[in-house]
Amino acid sequence: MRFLLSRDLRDNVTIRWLLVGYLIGVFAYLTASPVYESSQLGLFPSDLVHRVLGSRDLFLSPKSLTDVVVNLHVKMFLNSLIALILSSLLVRLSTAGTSKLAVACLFGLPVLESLSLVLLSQGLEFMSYVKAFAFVGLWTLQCGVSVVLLRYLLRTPR
Amino acid sequence: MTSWHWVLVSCFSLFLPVSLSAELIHQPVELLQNQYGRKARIEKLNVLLTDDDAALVSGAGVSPFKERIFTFFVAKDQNKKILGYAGLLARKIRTKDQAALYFLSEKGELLSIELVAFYEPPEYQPTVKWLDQFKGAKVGQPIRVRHEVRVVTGATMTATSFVESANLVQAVWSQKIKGHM
Repeated sequence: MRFLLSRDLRDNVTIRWLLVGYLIGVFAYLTASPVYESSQLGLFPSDLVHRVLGSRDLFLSPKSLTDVVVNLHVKMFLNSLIALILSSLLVRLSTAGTSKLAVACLFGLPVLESLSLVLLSQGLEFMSYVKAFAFVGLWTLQCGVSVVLLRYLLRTPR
Repeated sequence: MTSWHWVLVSCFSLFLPVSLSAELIHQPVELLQNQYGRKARIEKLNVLLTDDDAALVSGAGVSPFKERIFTFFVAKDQNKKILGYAGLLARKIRTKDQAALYFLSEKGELLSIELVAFYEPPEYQPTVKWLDQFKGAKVGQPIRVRHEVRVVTGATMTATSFVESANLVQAVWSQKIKGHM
């Protein structure tokens, strides 16, 4: 019996199309993500401060730490799932410094986002800027990495 | 630009419309001016309920409530004659906040309810037609869900919240404002 070992994921048709399907799912999630985020907490620092710390002018009551954690734990799970799959594909594609940085950010930014939200709920208003930056940064990174991987998977192997 | 760049740009454009979404439906002052005219003098009254007051309000057929501070407005004409009142009440419906202005006549009769802010999903937002059912509700005759007011299918909590709030505003008005102005 002979085995042909290949690191190219595209050699296995089933895996290839499964991953393409998964990445399309990730895109669908990323498309809806800003809309959901804006309806829950807001995307911009001022919105975040109003929604998390409350605002008398806008008739918004402050969010409790429990509310914040409930919101966070679902997002943390989804982001870690995306980070695991995207990073495992990315390291197969390239082990250059840029890929390593992207993998580090895929795991680091969700942690930074969650931490800044918890600190914001404890009254540190400037953390709203960190939270907004982390969300946009992570979203852009996830979109970018997905595009790179989708292009790779759809290209015919040599 | 390649097609991939267009995909990224169009995804990024999602950030623009969502950032402009409205927070408030109406400003309370704007609603008061619409109701009583721009020449009316609007005075703000902050009402504090003591435990004894709260017990009296509870006895008026009002559902249990936690609020102790209420905001009322009184509208007067140029001759300081009272045109009417309005009670502003902000509460949580399910998990999100809503605020509404309950307009009362000089005798405490409910004239109308106007939404100020509504953060629950729009499908739970009561319509103007539904809110019109509250018109004419008298003090001392608490409104009941499924009797004076129909339930909104799929938005029972909204209906209950507005009924409880309307009864509470009228009861507080009756206890703390009626005869004191």
